[in-house]
Amino acid sequence: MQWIAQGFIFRRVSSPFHRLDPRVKLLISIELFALALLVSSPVQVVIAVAGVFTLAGVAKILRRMSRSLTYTLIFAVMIFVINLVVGYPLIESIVIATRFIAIVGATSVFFLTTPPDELELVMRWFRIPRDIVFAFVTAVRFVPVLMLDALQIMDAQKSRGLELQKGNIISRLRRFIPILIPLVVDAVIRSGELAEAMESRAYGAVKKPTSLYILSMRSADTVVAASSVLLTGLAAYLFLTLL
Amino acid sequence: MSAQGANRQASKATSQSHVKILAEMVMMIALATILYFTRIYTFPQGGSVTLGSMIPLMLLSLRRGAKIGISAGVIYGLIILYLEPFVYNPFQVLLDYPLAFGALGLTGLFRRLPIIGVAIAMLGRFVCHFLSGIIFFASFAPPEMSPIVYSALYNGSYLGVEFVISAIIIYALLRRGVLNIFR
Repeated sequence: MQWIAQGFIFRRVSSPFHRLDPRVKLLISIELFALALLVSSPVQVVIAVAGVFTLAGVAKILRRMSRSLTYTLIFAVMIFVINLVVGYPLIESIVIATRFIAIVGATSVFFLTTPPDELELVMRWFRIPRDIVFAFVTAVRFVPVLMLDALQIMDAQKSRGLELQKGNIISRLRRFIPILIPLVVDAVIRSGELAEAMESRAYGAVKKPTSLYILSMRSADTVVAASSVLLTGLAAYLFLTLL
Repeated sequence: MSAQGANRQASKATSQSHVKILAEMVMMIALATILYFTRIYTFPQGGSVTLGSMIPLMLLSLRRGAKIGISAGVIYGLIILYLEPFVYNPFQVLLDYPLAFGALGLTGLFRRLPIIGVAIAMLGRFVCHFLSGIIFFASFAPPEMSPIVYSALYNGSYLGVEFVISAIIIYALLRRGVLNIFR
């Protein structure tokens, strides 16, 4: 279970794409997504997939992305097989399956390159209620903390003779309850501590709180955003008319 | 004490309980996120059975009411979207993440009959995933495949198991009085 806690620590990768304004990243991601939805021929699918993976390469997230796309790959293979079995031509089945990978990959580029605190700023920019933004960001931050608590509780119960890895599903469920109850109690205790911390920092005292970091577009962001819109427009035009 | 003073104290008390509930939401969402990654069984087609990942949200909903439960569920859905993005259609995003997990908060509508509440919540989640499954089959599978049957089979398979697990554990937890700790 340790690996899950590791997975939640956002690794700061430094790449030109990571340094972009998060709103621009979201825009590029949505553009690629829309482009991938338009795909209907082999040339187009190659362009869309190339676009997604070039972006992932620039952002240096190719390895992480291929890991997160394994699930998608299973689905793509399933789509391919089903289409082939029903009697679609080989090329067309490949196009449909690859298009699916391009579509899912396009959005995961944004989520893989945006750390929670940048996401917080984007959510605020969209004027999502503050309580929701707060709950989202804080919950993500508390996952590793509660994870370590869970591991500790499991160790404690194991040392009292609880066997977790044995037995069929029913007996495993029964043994899960001595883990879950302390875990829920622990979460409630921690929520009390969190509430005290929030109170002492006067959470909710100000109607419109200001933020230390404010999103601001640098000139590079504007250039990237504008050229990405132009490129996508051009590609969409080509998709619909020529290719 | 003057009327104004009493008034101020009352508003302070409500803000305190607001903060307390918000903090509880945060912790239950974080707990549910951890449990989401404890997969006990993964179906060959991709759906997975977790070790009761919805239980913290259902408990929260039973403890604090459906409104709190639903908003916590929506936020939980957004977190799952952030950690495991799987997006192939704009409507599917809404259905699969905020709405499907928000439906878990429906448990709180049946505080007297928690197991019925769990069933209703699972049904709500099933409806959302079922609709998004129809979108999936309609856009990627050949029209010869009936989207309704396959979507129902696919989503029903793992949500059914998930329901049984959640119902058993919720029943066991409620019998031990977990809902009333630190009220």
